[in-house]
Amino acid sequence: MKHVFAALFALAAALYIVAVRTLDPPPPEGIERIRWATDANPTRDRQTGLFAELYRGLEAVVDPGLGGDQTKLIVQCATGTGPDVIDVYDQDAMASQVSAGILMDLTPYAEQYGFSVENTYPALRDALMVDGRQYRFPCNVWANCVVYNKAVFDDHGVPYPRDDWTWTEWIEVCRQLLQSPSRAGEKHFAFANWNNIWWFGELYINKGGRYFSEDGLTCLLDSEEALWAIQFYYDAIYKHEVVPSAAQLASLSAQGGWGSGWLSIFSNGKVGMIIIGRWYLCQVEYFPQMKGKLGAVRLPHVEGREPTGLCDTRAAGINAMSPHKDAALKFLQYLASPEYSKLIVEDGDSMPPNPSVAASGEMLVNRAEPDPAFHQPFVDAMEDAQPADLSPFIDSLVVRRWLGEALDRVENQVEAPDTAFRNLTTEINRTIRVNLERQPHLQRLYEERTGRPYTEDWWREYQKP
Amino acid sequence: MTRVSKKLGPRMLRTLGAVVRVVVLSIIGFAISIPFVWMVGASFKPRAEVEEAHIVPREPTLDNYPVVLDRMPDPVTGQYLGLRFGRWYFNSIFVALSVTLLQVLTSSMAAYAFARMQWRGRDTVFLLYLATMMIPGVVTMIPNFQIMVSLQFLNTYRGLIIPAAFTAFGTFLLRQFMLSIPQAMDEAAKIDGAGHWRIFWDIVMPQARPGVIALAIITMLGAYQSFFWPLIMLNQEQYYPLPVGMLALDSTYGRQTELIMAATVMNVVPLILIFIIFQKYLVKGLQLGGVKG
Amino acid sequence: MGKPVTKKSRSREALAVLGFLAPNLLGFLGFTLLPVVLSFLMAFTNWNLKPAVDLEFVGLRNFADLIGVQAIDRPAPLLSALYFGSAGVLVAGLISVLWANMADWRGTRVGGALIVALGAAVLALAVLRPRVGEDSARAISHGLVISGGIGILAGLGLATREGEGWRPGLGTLPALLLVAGAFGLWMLNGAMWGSYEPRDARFWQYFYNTAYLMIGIPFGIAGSLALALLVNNDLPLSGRAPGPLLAALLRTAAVAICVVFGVVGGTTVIGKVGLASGAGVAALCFLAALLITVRAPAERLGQIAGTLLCLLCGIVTMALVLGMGQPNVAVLGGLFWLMAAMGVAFNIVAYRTVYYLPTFTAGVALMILWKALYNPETGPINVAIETIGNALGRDWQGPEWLASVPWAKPALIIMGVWTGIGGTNMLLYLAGLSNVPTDLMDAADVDGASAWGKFRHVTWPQLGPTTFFITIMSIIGGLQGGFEQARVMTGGGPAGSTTTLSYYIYNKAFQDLDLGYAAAISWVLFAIIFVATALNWKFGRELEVSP
Repeated sequence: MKHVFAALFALAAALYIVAVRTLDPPPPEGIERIRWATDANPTRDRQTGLFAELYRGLEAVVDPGLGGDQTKLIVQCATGTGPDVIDVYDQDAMASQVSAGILMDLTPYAEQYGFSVENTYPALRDALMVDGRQYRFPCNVWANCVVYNKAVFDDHGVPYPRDDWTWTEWIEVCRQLLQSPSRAGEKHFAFANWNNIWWFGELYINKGGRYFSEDGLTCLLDSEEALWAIQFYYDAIYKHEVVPSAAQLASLSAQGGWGSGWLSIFSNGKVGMIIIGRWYLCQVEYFPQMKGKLGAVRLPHVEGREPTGLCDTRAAGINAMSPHKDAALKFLQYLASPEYSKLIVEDGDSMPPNPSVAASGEMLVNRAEPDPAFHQPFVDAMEDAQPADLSPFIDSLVVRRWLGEALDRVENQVEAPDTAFRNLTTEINRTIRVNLERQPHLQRLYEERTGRPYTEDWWREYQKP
Repeated sequence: MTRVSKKLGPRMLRTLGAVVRVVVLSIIGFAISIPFVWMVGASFKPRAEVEEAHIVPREPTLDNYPVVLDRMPDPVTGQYLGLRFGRWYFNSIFVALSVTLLQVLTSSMAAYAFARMQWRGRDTVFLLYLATMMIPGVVTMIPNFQIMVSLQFLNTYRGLIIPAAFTAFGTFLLRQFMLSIPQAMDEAAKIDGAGHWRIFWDIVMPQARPGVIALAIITMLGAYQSFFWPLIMLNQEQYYPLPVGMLALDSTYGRQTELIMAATVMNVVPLILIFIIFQKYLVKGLQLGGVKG
Repeated sequence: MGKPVTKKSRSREALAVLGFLAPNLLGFLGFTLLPVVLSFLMAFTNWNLKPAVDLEFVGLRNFADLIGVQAIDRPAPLLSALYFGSAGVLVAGLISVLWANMADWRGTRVGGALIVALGAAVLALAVLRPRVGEDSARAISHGLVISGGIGILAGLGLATREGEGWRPGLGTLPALLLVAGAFGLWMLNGAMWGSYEPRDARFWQYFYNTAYLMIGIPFGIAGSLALALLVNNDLPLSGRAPGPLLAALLRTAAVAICVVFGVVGGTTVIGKVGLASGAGVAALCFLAALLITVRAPAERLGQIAGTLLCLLCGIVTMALVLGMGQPNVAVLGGLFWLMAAMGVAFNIVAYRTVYYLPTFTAGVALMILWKALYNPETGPINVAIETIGNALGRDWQGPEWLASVPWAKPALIIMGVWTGIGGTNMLLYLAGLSNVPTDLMDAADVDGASAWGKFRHVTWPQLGPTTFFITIMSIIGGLQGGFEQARVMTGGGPAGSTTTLSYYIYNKAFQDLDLGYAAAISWVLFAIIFVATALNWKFGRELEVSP
């Protein structure tokens, strides 16, 4: 027995020597490496390659542990070993990470390096800043439009949608798609609700709603606009029956995981329309059969209101405890450069951070989609879009999760739409109260925003009980 | 029934019984193995078909394996994936082997201390071991990670091996085994003047071998498939074990299922071989130890 | 006896203990115990990684937030005190019932009868209550039905104990406590939940989910036991490949190629040629087996049986592919053909390996696999259901599994049982079975016991320790589980129906960054696991056989 152990031990030692000997050589002298926490999208290779070309002596290495799951990021940043450049996928995550002290305040460097909020779309201002300080700069920017499959529309003999259509007309288009028979004898869905929070958000913002009051102390998801939006959402599924319910959703689910399931259903030509950003073009590389079949049009608007919609950005921030701050700042400078923006345009990875490169449909033509008419709606959408609003008094990721849960419950008919959202608002408001009660720095913020001293009864004026 | 058996004779009856048993075993075997067979089939499918129900690909392709091994560009995008499959495979095997070795060694020594030696506080400490198995691991992750950072275990092999080698499970299992080994030979050896070290290696361990091998297989399996800890502890590709490396096939922009299936099939083959080889020790062996509480 | 114990020998002994224990203990202290202690301390703080919030010790506030209640409008302390008092009485009744059972108090039969009545009443109440549309009310109804059922069964178990009269005694007290507690809860229920609401309603929903998902455990254990019994003994017809090894290898290779081409080629020329060749090879081997003499008659029988099987499989596979056009089922036939060609179709090791296969593939790949399998339209499970339905002339449609609220959890349970049934539990049972002393079995044979009798009186008691070990580990695993499924497959499920407590802890810790609260949930979970394990430990002692 002892011999067996000894032999295995020797084997392990030998393997260890092999392992250590075959490790990668350390980077050559003079190259500084920074870690960029982002997902393993194949376009990253080109993006880091260009960075290495433009900035001799610097290299960005992709650390793909992220992929939407921020556990690795949190654990590492909590112990000071996090990556240098962090991709923050949306506003909620940014607010959460800023309050956790993960992201560095970029405001002192922004002008000097040229990545201030002036260097990108003005609509994104609130999406890049918390409390007047800037924390990230866009890697790409998105505003949603309706992307439709021309082949599906042709198959059912339905005319293509127009830019100035309303939500009512949208329902009509869906209905036509579903009721007209398919010439090829196939089964299609009218609309892929692949991100219910976004769809709800578009409806709500379009109607003129806000998630929170200006001072952030009251949640407005039980307002008239919100109830209209959720009722419309629900009716589209269960009354007009033009959108598949959650159960029908899963029956088409091809590749699993966040988003990609619906994308490949759409990409496999089974759905007529989808609400998505220009970054859908990245998928065309994987599904070449979609080439030439895509059209894009503005989101429908609410009758009597100007069209508007959501915008946000996958933006890069810098780890507050990074040992390579200078290199990271240069990386952000690279993101603001026109060369990088041109690369984004080429790859179809949504809209570039630099608006001058994306001022019209013609400028956005790339190898995946040579028709400028496809790109123009995205340009227009960015002009009218606005980011969602947040409240500093409650954690934004919590709000987003609870919103998703409420939408889930409505979709699965566990709760009626208005009940669900009233309960949601009550819960959010209650949490705001509890947070204010327990966190003195929020009380100070309250006093700043309202100009009044904090008392225990403050909420009676702002929220319903 | 007895009349039938009298007619057919005992040998025919046994054969009939064997045939029935084989049929039942096969039916259950098919049912259980369908998902696995489907996975093997899926590893030969092109992307468009991979999620569907049929086992046999309509358009079988051998491309998935070379693409994963980085010998061929991805047929759809035309780009090499840049996966270091060989290195990751090596890492998985090396780490699993080392963790198993360390775990088995230290656990058996500790189990000996709990089962065969008398000392104050023995049962209390053992209960402590048991109790820690009941804590969900999620929340101990950050304190654990802080310890790793302080010890400079990040991005090293020792960081992957050493923490994983110390769980209470191994000690618990082996203690049970050692408790059921009769003490008669121990006593005899003590009278002859043998110390604990000799008793451990020459008397107890050979008898506990089945349990040791059981623990070895279970630990090896666990270490080979571990994903979360290596993910958090490693930033450099060259140290990744296979499950972490395969994350590259699963980004927010698309999960390449057929490649994941091919990678998993390759991943699993050595495990199956090890199981077949050691399976007889496992079963026959466990019988000697028994799991009496 | 041995040498006398001297001070020197005692210190040497202590040193030896240290030597053996030290490596493991150090690792345990550093990597296991220390983080656990830290997380325990964390549960009493408000740590949430935010530098703006000062770390402070908040005592039991996290726990109160977790399981406490709060007034909707105005507090009614008397009501809540009475309600929690009733709940406490109920819990005391539960624990003392188990205690009374073990300690053999008198009067437990009357108590048992009372519990049966209580269980029946609860069941009736649950069934007759009007249903409200909300998930939590549904959950309560299901919980009541299950509790009622358990009550009836447990009460019957108690009431039918042998060796006791029908007189009340100390043992009746626990039943009275149960009835009193249940009554109190029932009367105050409406009023209580009109004035109060749980502070963390999600905790209770996820607790229900976690408990629900554990339903599969007894089925899994029973299944593993059944499989272990099946694969325990070698098959009588020799495990070795019939004939010389070289011949077996050639045969295997030939059949493998034939299967692949045949099944994959289907009805094309290649396929037909492939299948025909395979059948030809098998026929040749059969002929050879008949002609070439092998020494031992048993081996010869095995050889003939093996090649006959090979031939049969070939014919079946061909029929499936060419005749019925079912290449998928033919794949399985082809596999068996291959096994027969290799000579392992009669080797029990092959079956054990096949049953253990799902355990090998555990992890993300398995989840992806099952998610595809559960696809309501194209997944094999629903396709199979529809095919079977069509064959019977009916129009059956499978449920939507992971996408529908009522079917998501059963889907996970089925997946768990299916993949776990041949896993580690089966191995442990195999070990336990080979531990059963043969002289006991022989004695039972002499007494003329039937197969079922032998199992019930000899095998099952001898397996007691194994069952009990497996049960404890399953409970621990069950209460801590469901995490990977929620994270990879369902994302917490439609409307939160597959979120378990582990996943909730994970969300709280790494998304909400509320680490103090997550630690508190973990420790409440620990308390539940600890109580369940302790009860099982005491209760399960009964199952241990004294040698």
